[in-house]
Amino acid sequence: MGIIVGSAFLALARGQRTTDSNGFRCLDTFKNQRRMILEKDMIEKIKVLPEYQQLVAERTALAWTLTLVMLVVYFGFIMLLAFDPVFFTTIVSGEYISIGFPVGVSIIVFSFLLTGYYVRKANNDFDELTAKIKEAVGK
Amino acid sequence: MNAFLKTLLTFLVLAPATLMASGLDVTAPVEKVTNWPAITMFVLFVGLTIYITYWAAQRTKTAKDFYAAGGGITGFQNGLAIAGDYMSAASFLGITGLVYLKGYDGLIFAIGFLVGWPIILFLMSERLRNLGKYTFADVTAYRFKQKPIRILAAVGGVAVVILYLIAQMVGAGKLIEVLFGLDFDYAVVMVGVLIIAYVSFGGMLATTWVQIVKAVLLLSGATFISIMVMSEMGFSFETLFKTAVENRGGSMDILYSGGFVSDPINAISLGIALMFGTAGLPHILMRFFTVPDAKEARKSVFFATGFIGYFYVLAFIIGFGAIALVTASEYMDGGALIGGNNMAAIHLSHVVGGNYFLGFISAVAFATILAVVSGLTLAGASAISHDIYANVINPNATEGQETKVAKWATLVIGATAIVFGIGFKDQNIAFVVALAFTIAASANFPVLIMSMYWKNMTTRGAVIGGWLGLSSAVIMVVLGPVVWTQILDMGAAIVPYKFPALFTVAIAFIGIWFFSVTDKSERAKQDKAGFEAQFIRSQTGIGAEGASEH
Repeated sequence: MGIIVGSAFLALARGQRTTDSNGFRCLDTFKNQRRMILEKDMIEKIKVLPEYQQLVAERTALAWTLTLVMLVVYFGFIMLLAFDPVFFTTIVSGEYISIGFPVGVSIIVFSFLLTGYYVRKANNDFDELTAKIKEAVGK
Repeated sequence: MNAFLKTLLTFLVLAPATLMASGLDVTAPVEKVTNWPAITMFVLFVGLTIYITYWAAQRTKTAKDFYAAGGGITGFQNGLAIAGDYMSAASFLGITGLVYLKGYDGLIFAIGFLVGWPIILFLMSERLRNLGKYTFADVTAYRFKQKPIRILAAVGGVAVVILYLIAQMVGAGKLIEVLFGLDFDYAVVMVGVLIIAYVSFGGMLATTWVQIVKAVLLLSGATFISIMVMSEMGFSFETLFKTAVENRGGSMDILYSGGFVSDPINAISLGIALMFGTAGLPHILMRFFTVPDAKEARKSVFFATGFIGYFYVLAFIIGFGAIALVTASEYMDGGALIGGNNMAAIHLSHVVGGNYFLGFISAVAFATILAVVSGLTLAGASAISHDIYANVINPNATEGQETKVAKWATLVIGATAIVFGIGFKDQNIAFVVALAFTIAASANFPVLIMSMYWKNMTTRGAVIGGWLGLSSAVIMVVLGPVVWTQILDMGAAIVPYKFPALFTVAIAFIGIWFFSVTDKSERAKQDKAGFEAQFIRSQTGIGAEGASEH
C-alpha cells in the first residue's frame, strides 16, 4: 500500500497531473486523499497481460454463474409456493414435519455454502492472479 | 468543534436529568412494573458501549477513521458487524413474531432477507472495496459528473436512513415501554442521545464495535433460547411441531404456507425488494470500506451470511418454541400475547430462563436498537458531510471541515430521529420499511450496479434513471395498500402491491438504459472513456484506498 501512496506523491512532486477522468478534485486539492488514478500507459499495460485477461474471464464467469444459481433457487422456491402450495403440505417425516422445513433450511445452508465456495475459489485463484498482475506492473 | 461539543454536552447533561425525573414516576401509570434485572443488564451494556466509545474516540483522528474506522477492521469482525446491522430488532422480534403468528410463512420471509447476501458477494463486495472510499456514492459517482450523482445518491441514502430510523425509533420506544416500564418519549430521547454520543465521538470504530458486541450477545442469547426450547422438546422437531399444533387447536396450518405468496407478482416483487434492497442499504454498503482490501471484503460477506443464516434458523425455532411453550395466562391478554406478537421471543425467554434471562434478552433487544440506529445515523451523516458538503457545496473542504460537518450532521440526524420517533409514535408505520427497501432497491441499487458493470452508462442516464426509480418508489408506495387504503382511507389501493419493487426497479433500469444510449453529449464520451480505468481498478485493486497506517 505504501508503494502506491508513495508513487502518488512522487507523481505529485514531479508535477504530473493526478486528476481523475473528470478533472475532479484529486490529490493536489485534498492532500490526504490517496486516490491514485491509473495512467493511460498503465491501462494499456495491464489490459494485455494474460493474467489479467484470465482473472477477468474466470471471475466474471464464476460470479454470474453463482448469481444465476442463487436466483434460480430462490425464485424457484417462491414460484413453487405461488403455483403449487399443495406440494408444501407433504409430510416427510413422522406426522408433523412438512417438506417446507427441510427445503427452507436447505436454502439457507445452500446460500452459505455458495458464498464459501466463491470465497475459497477467490482466495486460492483470483488473489494469486492479482498478485502476478501487480508484480508485472510494479505495484 | 467547541460549539459542537458545547451543544452535545448540554444535550448529554440535560437528557439524563429528565430521565432521572421520569425514573421516579415510572411505576404508577405503566401497566408493567419496573424490570430490575433488565435494567441492571441494560446499564451494564450501556456502560460497556460508553467505554468502547471512549476507547474509539482516542483512535478517531482523521476523516478515514471517522467514516471507515481507519480501514483496519478484519473480515471476521466486519462479518459480525454486518450481521449486527442486519439483525435489527425488527428482524429478531419481527421474524420470531411472524413465525409465532403464521408459522412457516415467517421462514419464507426470513429466506428472502438472506438470499441477497450471496449476490452482494458475487457481484458487489470486492468492487465496492476497490472503488469506494467512505460512502457508496464514491462508487456510483466514480467516473461521472460528481454533483448530480452525489446529490441523487445522498438523497436516496438519507431517505432510506430516515425511514429506517423511524421504524427503529418507534420500535425502540414501544419495546422499552413494555420491557423497562419507562415512558415512550424518554426512551426515544435516551436512544437518540446515546447514539449521537457513540457516532460523533467514536465514529465508525465505536459504531462497529458496539455492533460486534451486540451481535455476539444476540447470537448467544438466541442460541441459548433455542437450546432450551429443544431440550424441553427432547431435541425432537416432531415434538416441537406437535406441541405447537396442539396449542393452535390441532390446526396444521402453521406447518404449511398460509398463502403468504399466493399471488406470483406480489411474491416476485417482494423478493426483488428484499434482495436488491439489501444491496442498496447505505449503512450496510458503508461497511465494505472499513476493511483493508477486497479479500477481507469478500470474507466479511461469507461470515455475515453464515451468522445471518444461523440466526434465522434460530429465529424459526424460537417462534415455534413460543407457540409451544408460551401458554401460561401471565403472558396472555385475552387471546393475544401481552405487548403483541413481536413480544413472542421476550416472553419465551422468561419461560425458559426466568427473570434474569428475561432481563438479559430485553437488554440485548435494546442494545440491538442502539447499535442499528447508530449505524444508520453514521451512514446518514456521511452522506451529508462527504457527498453533499465535501463534494457539492465545498469541494475544497479540508478534512477537518468535513469531519466537523459530519459531527453536526450526526447531531441533526440524531435529533431528527428523536422527533420522528415521538411524532410517529401512534402512527401505522408498517409502510416505512417497505418504502425504505423499495427506495434502496430502485434508486441506490440500479445506479450502483450499472455504474460498476455497464460501460455505456452516462451521467444523464444515471441521474434520470435514479430519480425515476426514487420517485416511482415513493409514488407507488403512497398509492399502495398500506398508505392509500389504511392510512389515508381512500378506498381500494390504486397500486395493489405492498412492495412495488418489481415495477420501480424496472423503471430505474429502463430509465438508465434509455437516457444513456440516447445521450450524445460531450460528457457522455468522457463517462464512457472512464470505464476502462474504473474496471481495471475494480478487478485488480490497483489504486484502491488502503488502510490507515496507525
